[in-house]
Amino acid sequence: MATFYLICFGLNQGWFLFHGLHFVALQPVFFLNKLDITGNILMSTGLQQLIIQSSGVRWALDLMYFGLPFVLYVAAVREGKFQSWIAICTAIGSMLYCYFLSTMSLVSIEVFIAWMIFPFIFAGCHLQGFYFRLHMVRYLFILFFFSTALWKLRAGGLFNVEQFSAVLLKQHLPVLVSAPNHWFSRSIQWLINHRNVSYSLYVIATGIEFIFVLGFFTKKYDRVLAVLFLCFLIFDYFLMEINYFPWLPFLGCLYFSRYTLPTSSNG
Amino acid sequence: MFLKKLYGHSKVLFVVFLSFLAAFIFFNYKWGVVATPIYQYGMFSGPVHLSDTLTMMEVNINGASPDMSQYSFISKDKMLVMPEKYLLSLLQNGTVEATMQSIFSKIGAGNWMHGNQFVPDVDSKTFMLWYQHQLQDFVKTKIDSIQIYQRKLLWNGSRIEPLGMPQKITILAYP
Repeated sequence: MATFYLICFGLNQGWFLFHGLHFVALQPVFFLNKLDITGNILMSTGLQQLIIQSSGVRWALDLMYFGLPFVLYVAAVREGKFQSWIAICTAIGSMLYCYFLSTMSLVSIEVFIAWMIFPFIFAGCHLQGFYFRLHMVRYLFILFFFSTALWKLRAGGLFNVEQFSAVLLKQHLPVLVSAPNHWFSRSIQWLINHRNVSYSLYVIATGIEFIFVLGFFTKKYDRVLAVLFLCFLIFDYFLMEINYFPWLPFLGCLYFSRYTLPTSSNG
Repeated sequence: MFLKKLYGHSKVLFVVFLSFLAAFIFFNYKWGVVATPIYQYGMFSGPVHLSDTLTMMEVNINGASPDMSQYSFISKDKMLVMPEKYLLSLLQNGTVEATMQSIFSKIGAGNWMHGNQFVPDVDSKTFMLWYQHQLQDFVKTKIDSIQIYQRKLLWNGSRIEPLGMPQKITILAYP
């Protein structure tokens, strides 16, 4: 599991590094405050001003964020005595970093949730603790994913037959305007014009989100949910041009959930 | 049942888990304010219509509008989302601060928030200099000038048509 987490982190952060989405490359000059209680408590420390003013702080935060998962991996593999503390520090450090990065860059904070709660799985030293934490995170992930379907019901998007056509139009407007004859623009235009097809895609996606409710009651379908989730990430990336791959570690919760509760405290 | 087993394993974990669930349900029910790491995953859930007026930023680099299909979606977002976000920060940061202050005041912690920490001290010239540097990383030609416009558009059933003339955002200009 620690290896899976590290691979996910490495791949994702490689992508973020490549696109200059970290403090050292970004050298931010402003931040956008949001209606976030914890976020505003973090901001009351004035760290956002230090990030803007000091390259040393930017380097320190980047090193912390990129380094802690490696330290956690080593601690988890060696089952070191500081593993719990390192896991908690990684979770809190990631939360701090991701919050400020999202206020200063174009990435939404929701994308980073896995890095904030996933390290918590490694906060238990024995196998039973690991089992319970893994399942806690699994339930939270299922709740997050299922809530996206509930939002579509509550806000009403699901009952609007031109919803996905209009979403695609808004999402890809710049490329539709500047390069209407490009193959991607033509594909998007085709979907916009065929409302029934695009609405069907929206309903299917919402259906997939709804299906995750099964995960609350049984682990039997976790493999199916994992495949559906992976399809969702791929479509989000290529059709919507939104990178939700930082949610990839949650896939591990669905994969490793098949193991039963160890009876011995040391497994 | 998992909760029962969790309670048997650790009462602390049980309370932490239930508290997180309760907070998630509360903040999602309330619809608006969040509390990291509790968010609302309601993207694309509100109804949008093809007849809605569309608004977009248009960037002119060295007097020409770049072909957006030539750039990765991250580069496109850097080009278009960051000026939008900067303008929003000028409009929104003060309002957010006032709202948060009223929330913190209810629990007697209103004095935590100091205005200078919540509103960035950056003028549009500094922003545009930074923006030019960011764009120069992926725009092949040397950037000598940048103008940003706001355009209103409408989908007429088969293609996108402009609604009036593009509005130049005068504070966002480089040099």
